[in-house]
Amino acid sequence: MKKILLLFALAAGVGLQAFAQTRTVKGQVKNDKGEAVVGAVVTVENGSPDALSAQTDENGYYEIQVEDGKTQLKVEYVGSSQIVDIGDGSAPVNVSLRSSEELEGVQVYGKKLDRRSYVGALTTVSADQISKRPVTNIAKAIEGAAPGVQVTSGGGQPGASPDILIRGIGSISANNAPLIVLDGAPYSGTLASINPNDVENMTFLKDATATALYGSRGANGVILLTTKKGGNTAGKPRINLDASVGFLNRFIPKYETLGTKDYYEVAWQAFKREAGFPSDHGDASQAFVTFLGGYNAYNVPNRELMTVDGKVNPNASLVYTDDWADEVLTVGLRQQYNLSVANGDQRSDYYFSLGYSKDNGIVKNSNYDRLTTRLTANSQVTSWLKSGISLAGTMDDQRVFVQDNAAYVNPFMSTQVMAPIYPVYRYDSLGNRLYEADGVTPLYDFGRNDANNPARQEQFRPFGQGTNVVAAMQQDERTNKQLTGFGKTYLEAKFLKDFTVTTNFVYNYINQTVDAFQNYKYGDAATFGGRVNRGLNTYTSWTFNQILNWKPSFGIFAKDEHNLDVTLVHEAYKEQNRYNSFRRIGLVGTGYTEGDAAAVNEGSGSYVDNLAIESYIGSISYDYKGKYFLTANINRNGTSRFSEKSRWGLFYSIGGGWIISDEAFMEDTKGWLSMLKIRASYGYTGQQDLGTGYYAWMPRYSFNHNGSHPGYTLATIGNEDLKWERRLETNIGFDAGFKKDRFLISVDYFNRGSRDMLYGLPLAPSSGVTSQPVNVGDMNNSGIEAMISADIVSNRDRKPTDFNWNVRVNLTRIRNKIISVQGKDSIIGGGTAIIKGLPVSSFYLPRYAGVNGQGIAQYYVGQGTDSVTTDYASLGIESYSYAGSPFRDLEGSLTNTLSYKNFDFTFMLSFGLGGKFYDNTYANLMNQGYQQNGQNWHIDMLNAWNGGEGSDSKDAIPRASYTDRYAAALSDRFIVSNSFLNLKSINFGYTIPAKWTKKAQMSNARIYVSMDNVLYFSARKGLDLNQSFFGTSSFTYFPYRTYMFGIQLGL
Amino acid sequence: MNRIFKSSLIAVLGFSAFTLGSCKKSFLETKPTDQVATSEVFKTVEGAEAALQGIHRTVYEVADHDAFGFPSIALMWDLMGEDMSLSGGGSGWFVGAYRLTDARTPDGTGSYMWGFFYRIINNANYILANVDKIETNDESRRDFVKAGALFYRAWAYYNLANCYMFTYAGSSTVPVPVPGSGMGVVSSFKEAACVPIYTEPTTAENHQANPRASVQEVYDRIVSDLDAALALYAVSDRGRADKSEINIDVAKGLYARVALVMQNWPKAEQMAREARANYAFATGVNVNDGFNNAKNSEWIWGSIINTEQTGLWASFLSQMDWDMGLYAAGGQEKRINTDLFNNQIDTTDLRRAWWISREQKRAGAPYAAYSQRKFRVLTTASTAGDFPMMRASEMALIEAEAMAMQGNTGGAITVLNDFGRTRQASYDASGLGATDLVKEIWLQRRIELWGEGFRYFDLQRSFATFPVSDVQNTTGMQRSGAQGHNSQLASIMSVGQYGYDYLFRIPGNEREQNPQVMQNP
Repeated sequence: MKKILLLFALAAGVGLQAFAQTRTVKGQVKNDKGEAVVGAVVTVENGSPDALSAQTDENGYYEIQVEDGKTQLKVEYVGSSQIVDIGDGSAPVNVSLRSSEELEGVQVYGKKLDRRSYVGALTTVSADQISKRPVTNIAKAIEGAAPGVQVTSGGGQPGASPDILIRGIGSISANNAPLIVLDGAPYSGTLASINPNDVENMTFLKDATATALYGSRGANGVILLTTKKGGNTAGKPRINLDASVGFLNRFIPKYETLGTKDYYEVAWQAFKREAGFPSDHGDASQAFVTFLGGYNAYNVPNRELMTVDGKVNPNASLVYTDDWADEVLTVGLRQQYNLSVANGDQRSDYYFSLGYSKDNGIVKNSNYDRLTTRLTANSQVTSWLKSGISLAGTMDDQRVFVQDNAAYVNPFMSTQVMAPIYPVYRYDSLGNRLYEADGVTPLYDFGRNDANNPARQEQFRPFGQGTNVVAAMQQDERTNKQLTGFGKTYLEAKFLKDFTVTTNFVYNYINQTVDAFQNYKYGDAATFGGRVNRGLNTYTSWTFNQILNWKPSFGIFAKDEHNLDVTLVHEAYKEQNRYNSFRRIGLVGTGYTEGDAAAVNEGSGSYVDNLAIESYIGSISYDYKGKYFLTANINRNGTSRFSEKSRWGLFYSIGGGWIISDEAFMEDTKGWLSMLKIRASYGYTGQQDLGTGYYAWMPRYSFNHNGSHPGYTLATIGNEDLKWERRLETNIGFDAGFKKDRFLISVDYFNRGSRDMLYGLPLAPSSGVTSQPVNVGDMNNSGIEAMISADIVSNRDRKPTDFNWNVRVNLTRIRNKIISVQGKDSIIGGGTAIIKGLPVSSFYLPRYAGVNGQGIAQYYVGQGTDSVTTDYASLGIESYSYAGSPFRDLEGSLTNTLSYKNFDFTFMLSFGLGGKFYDNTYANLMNQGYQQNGQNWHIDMLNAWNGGEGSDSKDAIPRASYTDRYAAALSDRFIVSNSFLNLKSINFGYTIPAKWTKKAQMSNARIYVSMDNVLYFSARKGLDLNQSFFGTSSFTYFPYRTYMFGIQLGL
Repeated sequence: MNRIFKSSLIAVLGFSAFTLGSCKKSFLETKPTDQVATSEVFKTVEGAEAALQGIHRTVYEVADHDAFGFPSIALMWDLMGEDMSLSGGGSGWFVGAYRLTDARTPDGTGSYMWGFFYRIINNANYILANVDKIETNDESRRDFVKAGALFYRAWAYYNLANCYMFTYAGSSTVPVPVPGSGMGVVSSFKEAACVPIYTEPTTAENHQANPRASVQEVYDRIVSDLDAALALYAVSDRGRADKSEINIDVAKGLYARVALVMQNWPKAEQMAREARANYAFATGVNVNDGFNNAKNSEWIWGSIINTEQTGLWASFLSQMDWDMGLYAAGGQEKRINTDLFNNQIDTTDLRRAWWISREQKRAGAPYAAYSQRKFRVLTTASTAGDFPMMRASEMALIEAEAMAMQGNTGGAITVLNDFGRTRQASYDASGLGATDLVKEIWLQRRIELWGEGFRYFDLQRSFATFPVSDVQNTTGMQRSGAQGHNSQLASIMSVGQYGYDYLFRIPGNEREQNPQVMQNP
C-alpha cells in the first residue's frame, strides 16, 4: 500500500550537503497542550537553501546542524510555524509550538494575513474543525463556526449548496452572498465542487479592512478558502487516507396532516356547505365521492361511505393504505473516500488529493456522486524566483427533481399536500393491486381511471390529475452534471531590495449540463410521446493580476521598530456564460433519451453573457514595534454592469490596532492578562451584482418572434443613472487572552451602512412595466459579535492531565433598519414591505380577526378599529400592518470539545432567539376554497369552527369549506416565532495509540462516529425555520440527519 | 546572464499589467445577446416593424397555465357566462373564472389580464413615440407600423373598458367609483371611473401611475386612435404577410365592435360591412375545420401559433381539445349550455357538430356529452393551432344588429340570411319583427361565437337600453342545472343586471403601487 502511495510522489531531487562550519543544536518540540509534536520540521532561519533540515521523532526530539552565524531556527508543523532563538546553543532549544498567529498560506493580494497585526474582524475555521463535521459540502461546515456568519439549511438536496450571509442582509435585491476567494482569486463555482478535505482553512473577513481590497465584490464580506499545500515535510511524504460510510434519514418530520378517516370527515363538513348539497343522504354520500374525484378508500359502497352525522361508516375498513411520503423516502447511504499526499522540502513541495463521495439521499433517485482531484506544486526556481501551479477538477453528477412549489411532480410538495385518500398504485374493484403485463411492475395511479377500482366509478383525481410523483421519480430522469476545472499559475520574483513582483493567472471552467427526460408512457409528457430537454451552460472566467510589493526590512527605518508593507495591484477579471438549450418530443421507445431519439423540435436557443471587472489597488500597512498597527487600502474598480456614466467606483478602508498588553505599564497584569488588543476600522466598499442579470442599467427589448416574423417586445426600461450600491462599515473590537490564553474573548461592534441600495422597484402594472432597477434607499445593520473560548479543563498551565475540555461560544446580535426609501416612506408588495425605520423584509400583512357567526374568516378593516370584513379582496394597503421581521435578536452556537486520553468528543448546538416566520406550508395546509379539493389539511382542522361553540373567538379556525377562498389568505395568522434550537453535530473519536500505529508503519490513525442534525426545536412540528434568511419556506428537499462512521489513516 | 534574465522577466511582468489585462476602454463594454438595446430598436423601420410583430406575439404569449395571452382571457370571459360550463374541476385551472372569483380577486386570469393589456398599450406607446423619428424614405411602411400601434392601443383600451366598468350605453342606480368624487351614482356609466389612460411610453424618467379616467374619456381615446389608424392604413400600400398582422380590415372590425358598444349604429353597420368585404363566410366542411387555421376564408384576424410558440399544457387547445389528453381530458371538458344546444340549434345546423350530442355520447364517443369539438388541434403531437381573433361572421352579425337597431329590418334580414344559410341550408329569418330579429341576432352570436370570448361582453352590453323594445336584459346572467351547470362547481348561479360580481376589481399590486386608483365595489 505504502509503495503504491509513494508512486504519487514527485521526486524533489534536491541535493543535500552539509557545510563544514556547523554546530549541533538539539531540543524538543511540544504543542500548546504540552504534547510532543511528531514530524515537525526544523530548519535554520535565513540559512542556505541547501542546508539540511531535521524532523522531530516520535517523542518530539530533533537534532540539527546549524551554520555559524545563524541565530534562529524555524519550526514548522501543519498549520503553524514559529521562529525561535538558538541562544548560545549549549542548552537544548525546546519549542512550545503555539497555534499560529500568522494564518498559514492565507493571503490577500500577496499580503499575508497575520492575526496579531490584523486590524479588522476575522474568524478562521481550520481543517481540524472542518473534519469534525460529516459534510460533503464545505458550506455546511460553516454553520455555527463563526460569529456574524449565518447559513441556511439550503435546498438540502445532496450536492446543493446553502446560502451564506455575513453580518446580515446588506442588500434588498442585490446579491447578498459573500465573495469566495479560492487560493487568491475570486471563485465563481459552487462550494459543492470543493472537497472539504482539501481545505486548509476558511477565513471570514467581515469588516471593510480587507474587503475594500476586493472593491466591487467585497461588500458582503469575503470568505478566503485556502487549500492545502505540500509544505516542508523534509522530503518525507505525508499520506492521509480518510474513509467514512454512513446513512441519512429524515431530520425534520413532515407536518402533521389528516389521516384517511379524518380527511373524509373534514372534507364532508366542507362538502355539506356546498350549493346544491343533495337532500337524500345516499345521494349526498355518492356525490361526495364523485366530488373527491371518485376515490373511496373503504370497502363500502359510495352511497354508504359517510353516516348521516358525518362520520366514516364504522363498519368500513380500508382497502388501500398507500403512503406517498413513505413511497418516496428511503434510508440514504453515504460514502466518502479521500486520499492525499503532501511532500516537500525547502525548494519545492506538492500536494495531491483524490476524493470520491457518493450520497444516495433520503429521497429515492436523488443520488449524488462527486469526484474531486487537486494538485498543487510550488518550486523555488532560483533564489529570487518562485513559481507554482494548482490544478483542480471536479465531476458532479446530481439527480434532481422539479422543486417548483406548484409542480405536482415536486415530491416535496405532493407528498405533503395531497389528500391521503388517493392511492399511489392502482387497485381493482376488489381492492387488489394491479400490475402491468409482466405481473411484477405495479400500475401507478395517475388520477384518471376507468371504473375498475374500489369506488367502481370513473376517477379524476382533483389533485395533480395525470401525474404520479412516485412514478415520475422512477420513470423520468432529471440530472445536473457538472465539470468544474480550476487552474492557477503564478510567478513571484524578488528584485532590488525588498521588492517582490507577483503575477497570478487563474482560470475557472464550469460545464453544466441540465437534462430533463420525461417518459413517453405516463405523466406530463405522455401526450407528446415523451420529452428530452437539455440546457448546456459553459461558464468560463479568468483573473489576471500583477502585484508589486515592497516590504522594507532594513534601511530607511530602524529594524524592528518601523515595519512597512506597500502593495500595488492591477487586476482584470472576465467572465463569460454561454448557454444552449433544446427541447424535443416524440421518442422512439424506452431507453433512448438523447435528442436524436426524439422526432419533433419544440424549441431551442442560445445566448452569451459577458462580465468584465477591472481594479487598481493600493495598500499600505505599517506597524511600530509590533504594537501599533495601521492599514490603509484603496481600490478603484470598474464594472461592465453599469453604464459608462457610473461605471467606476472608488473604495477605501483605514484601520488601526494597538496591543496594549505589550506596553510596559501593563507589566503588572501579565500574570493574568496574557493579551489585550484593541482594533478599529472604517471603510467603504461597493456592490455591483444586482441579482438581475448583467445589464440592468440598459433599457432593452427582448426577442419575441411572431411565428417566423422576427419580433421584439419591451423587456425593461433600465436606468442609465444606476450606480454602485455602497457599504460604509465601522468596526471596533478587542481581543483578550487570560491565563496564558486559556480564556480567550473577542468582541466586535460593527455598523454597516448600505447606501443607494439596488432594488427592482415595483411599478404599477398599468404602466406596462412591472419594475425598474433603482438605487432605492439606505439601510443599516449594526450589531455585536462575540467569541468566547475557555479551556475549562486543560493541562496548559497545570500538571498534564488526561482530560481536556474546551467550550467555545459564538454570539451574534444584528439589528437591521431601513434609513430611507426613495421618495416615499414605504414600498409594499406581496406580504412584505420596505418601511423607513423598520427592518428590511418586514412582514406587512392584513390582520386576521377570527371567524364570524358562520365560521367564515374575517379580517380587520383599516387600523385601530374593530371593523371587520369577510371580503378579503376588498382590503387595501390601509388595512395592512407590520407583523414583525424575520431577523432574530440573537443567534449563536456553543461548541464543546472534550478529550480523555485517546478519546475525543465534540458537540455543537446552534440557536436563534426572536424574529418572526411566515409559515407558508401551514397556511397551505389550512387553506379552504375550491383549490383545496384533493389537498390535505393540517390536523388543526379537526378543531375548525363547525357551528356554535367558540364562534366569536379571535383565534378560531375558520370552517372547512370549498367556497371560502380567503380562509387562509395571507395574514398575520400564520406568523410564528423564528426561534430555534438545534443540536447540530456530535463527533466521537478514538485515536489509536502511537505504539500500535508505529508497528503498522503509520503516523496516526483515528476512528470516529459522527452525527449531523441531531435534534431540532421550533414553533411547530415540521417547520424548518432555517430554510431561508427571509422567514419563509418552500417545498424543497427534506432536511436530513447524517450518521457517519469513519477512519483516518496517516502514513 | 542571470541578471539580464531577471531584469527582463520583471520588466515583462510589469509591462503585462498595462497590456494584457485591459486598459482598453472597451474591456468594460458588454451587451446582451438575447436582448437588444432600446436605442437600437427604433433606428430603422425594420426595427419598428419587429416591435409591432412583438405585440402580435404578445397576443398569444404564455405566462402560466391560466395566463396564455388573449386566448386565456377569452376563455375566462366565456366561462363567466351561461353558455359554457365545465364538466368537472380538473386540475383547478379556470375554475376561478367559472366561479366568477377571477373577476373579484387579486389573482388568476383577471389579474393577469390587467397587466397583459397595459403591456400592449406600453409597447404601442413606445412605437408611437419613436416611429416618427426614424429616418426612412419608405413612408408607407412607417404608416403601417404606426397604424398597427394605434390599433393595438385602441384594442387594449376597448377590452379593459368593458371589464372594469359597466357598459358605455348603460345607466343604473348602483353606486360606482366616479373620477374625482369617490363612490356615487351616475346618470350614465360614461361618467363612471374606467381605467387609467397612458399615451406616453413608460421610461426610467417617467413612470408615474395614473388615476382612472372616465368611461367617456377612454372611449374618446379609442375612437381617436381608430380614426388615426384608418387614415394611415388608407395611405399605406404595405400589405400584411399573414393574418396574424393587422390591416385596415381588422381596424374596421374593431371599430365596428366599439361602435356597437357605444350604440353608434350607423358607424357599426358601415365598419362591419367594410371589414368583412374581403372575407367570404366559411361554407360546408370549412364551417367545422377545427378553428385552428387562419387560412379559413372568413378569418379576418387570427393568432398563428406554431409548435415552438405554444404553451403545451398552458394553451387554449390544451384546455379545449380532449384529444390532446391534456387539461380538457383531465376531467375538465368545456361544455355548451345544454338548453342552447338541445332547443335552440336546428337539427340541420352544421354547427351542431361543434359539440357532442347525447346520442353521440351514448354511441360511445369518448368525450363528455355537450363537450366542445369546435376547437381542435392540427395534430395530436402538439398544441400548435391558430386562434381566431376576428371573423366575417361576427362582422355580419354586427352589421345586421346595427341595421335592425336603425329600423332597417329588411337589410338586417338579408345580411342575417346570407350568413345563416352557410350554417343551416334552410335558414330564413324573413318575417321577424324588429324585436325578434334582434333577439335572433343575439342568439346567433351565442351559437356562432361560442368559445371565442364574446359572451361576457355581450351580457354586459345587453343590460343597456336599446332603441328596439324588449331587448334589454334586466334579469342578468342566469345559470341553471337545466343548462348543464353544476352548482357545486359554479358556486355563483346568477348575477343580476349590473351586479358587482360582473365588475372586475383592480388587481392588488396595482393598488399597492398606484393608490390613486379607486377600487370597484
